[in-house]
Amino acid sequence: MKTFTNEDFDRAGKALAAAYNGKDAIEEDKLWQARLMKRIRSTDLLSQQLRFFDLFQALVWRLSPAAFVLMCLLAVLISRFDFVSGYEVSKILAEDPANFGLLSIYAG
Amino acid sequence: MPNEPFTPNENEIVERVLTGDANAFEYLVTCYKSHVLKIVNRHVHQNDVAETAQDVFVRAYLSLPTYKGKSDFKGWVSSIAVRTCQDYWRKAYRSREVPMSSLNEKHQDWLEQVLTAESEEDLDKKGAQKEARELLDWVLAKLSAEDRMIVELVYLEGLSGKEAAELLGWSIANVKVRSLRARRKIKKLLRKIVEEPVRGYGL
Repeated sequence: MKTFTNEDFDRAGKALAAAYNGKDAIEEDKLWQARLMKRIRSTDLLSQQLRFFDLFQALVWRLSPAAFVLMCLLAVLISRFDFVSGYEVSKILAEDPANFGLLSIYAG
Repeated sequence: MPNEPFTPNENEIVERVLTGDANAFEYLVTCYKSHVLKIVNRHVHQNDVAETAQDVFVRAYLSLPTYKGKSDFKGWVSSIAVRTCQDYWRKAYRSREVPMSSLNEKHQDWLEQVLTAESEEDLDKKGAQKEARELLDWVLAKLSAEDRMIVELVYLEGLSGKEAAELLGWSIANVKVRSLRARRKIKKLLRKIVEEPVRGYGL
């Protein structure tokens, strides 16, 4: 079986690079630029810029009161309630033999 | 005093376009179309070159508000061209439009002849053969769009890591890591062709 060395890889790389760089040049189509400019003229750059800023301003400022209320609500909730996940509650119950007995009575 | 042809400054043209004169953009298209077509022609399929080059200019037109006159327009538009080509391949891979040609004994023979070539001239001659382009397309189709671009820029075009990073908008470290990984992958693919008998690769 033949082995493929680093030197072999470099040689193959050089030949493949020659193939890549030897790609035929593209012939220029005379109508290409006219078609492109038609596309450009139909794309209104100014209105696109304005549309983006309008949308940004409208959305950001309209949503800001709602975001503020939501933040206050979350702050109140976090300060008043102790967050313990259901998984942790069930783990405590399962690990505690007294509670386990109580659970098994209810279950059975 | 002889009349010199008026050559407007690129920044002035950009200003004019940004104030609503879309026709002024044609000056930039005329100046850079050959350069953009050359870049795009290297990276995408021949049939898609014209369309992709148009996409480059439309993207440049839409990105003009972000163009800062400090860098040269040629470099800026080159970067857009390379990124558009990368997007072209991303789209092609996503829609599975990348042709996966299969290899045969001819390609294996070609590679073996390359490995025994005696001079650089021989390697160039081998590179001009049809099998070389087919093998290259096969290898590149096995890479991701990002790896493909990095291999083409760094290994096939010979750009430095810094130049490739600027064109792609990546960090130099990212370019180095990706190019090393891609190189390793290509080496593995070529080793497989040389060391194992051809059983219809790519099928």
